[in-house]
Amino acid sequence: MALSAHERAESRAKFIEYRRTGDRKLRNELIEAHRSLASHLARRYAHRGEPFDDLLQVAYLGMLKAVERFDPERNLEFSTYATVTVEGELKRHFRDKTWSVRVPRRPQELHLRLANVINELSQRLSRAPRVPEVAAELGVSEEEVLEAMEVGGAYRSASLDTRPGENAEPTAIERRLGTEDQGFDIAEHRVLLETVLGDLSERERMIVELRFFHERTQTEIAEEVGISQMHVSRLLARTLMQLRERLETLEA
Amino acid sequence: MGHEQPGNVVRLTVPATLEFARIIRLTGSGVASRLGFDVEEIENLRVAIDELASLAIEAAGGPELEISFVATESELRIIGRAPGRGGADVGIDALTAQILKAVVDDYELRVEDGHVCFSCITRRPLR
Repeated sequence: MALSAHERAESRAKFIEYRRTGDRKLRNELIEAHRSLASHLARRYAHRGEPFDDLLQVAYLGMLKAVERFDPERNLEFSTYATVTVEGELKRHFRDKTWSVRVPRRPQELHLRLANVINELSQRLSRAPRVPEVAAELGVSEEEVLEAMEVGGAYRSASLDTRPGENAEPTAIERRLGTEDQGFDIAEHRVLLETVLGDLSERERMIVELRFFHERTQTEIAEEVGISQMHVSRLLARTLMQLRERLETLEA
Repeated sequence: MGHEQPGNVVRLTVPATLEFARIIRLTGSGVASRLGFDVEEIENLRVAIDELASLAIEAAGGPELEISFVATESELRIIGRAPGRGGADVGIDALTAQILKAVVDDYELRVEDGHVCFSCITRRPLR
């Protein structure tokens, strides 16, 4: 926000006047003058699953608070103060509003250690470990292990969590489930499925085919492909999401 | 098919939105872990829950999805039910069918009395 010396002095005078009088009209002018800073900051937080209009509202609210609290007597640029205040407001918004999709930090950290521990135990026991065994090895509760496993992959719902609003076009799958498309031919699905499988990389296709067409376990695939079971799990989750997206595009 | 033993059913009612699939998965994993499923079997169950719950939620016309986790002597059965949207049928695409076939022993998705219903069965590990 490059302001000329003149603009800066003018802005400062307005802040001093506002501090003195508490004039709402003056306050609104000050907010209005810094609108573009608010929208600039809101844009930084876009594409994280929250509607941009909501973020803009939050940023304006932050700007309002900044204008109300700013003390022009302190040796600080308003833009600096406003940036901190507005960002604080945006961060709080994400913390409060998106609790259902946000992953708490501890399970996330635990998840990273989980893969190694499951691998080690699988080798030691010559079978996949049970949750209590993993928990004992990690020195955490069984619930924490389950939470950490949850971080690993939300196979289908994750890719659909960030759906557009209610009035948006129905997704391909909704149309398929609708009353008009009752007789969708399973053979057509197979053709589509083969088409999208062809788009995958060699390794992805091999893993998907082994898992879902030959019904091999993740551990067996891990051994065959030479990667860890958790890695197979992650690759499968990601590949399934890609497949689903491509299927829906093709069907749309 | 064993009969339902008292004290072996966990019931859950969640809003029929995809954000709550996580809660269903987590509950299902907890129940399965209690029954002695290993991490891979739990992983499979999570995939199944995710697939079926997502299909049911997408087809649901009502606000809530009811889920029961029923443990019998021989199997873990997961049953879901949500008010439907008035359509006569629901479908499972080939990819989903292939996935479900690989991760559970049996599954079903259908419309019954105007409700979208699903169930899946995993045989309990013999240990």
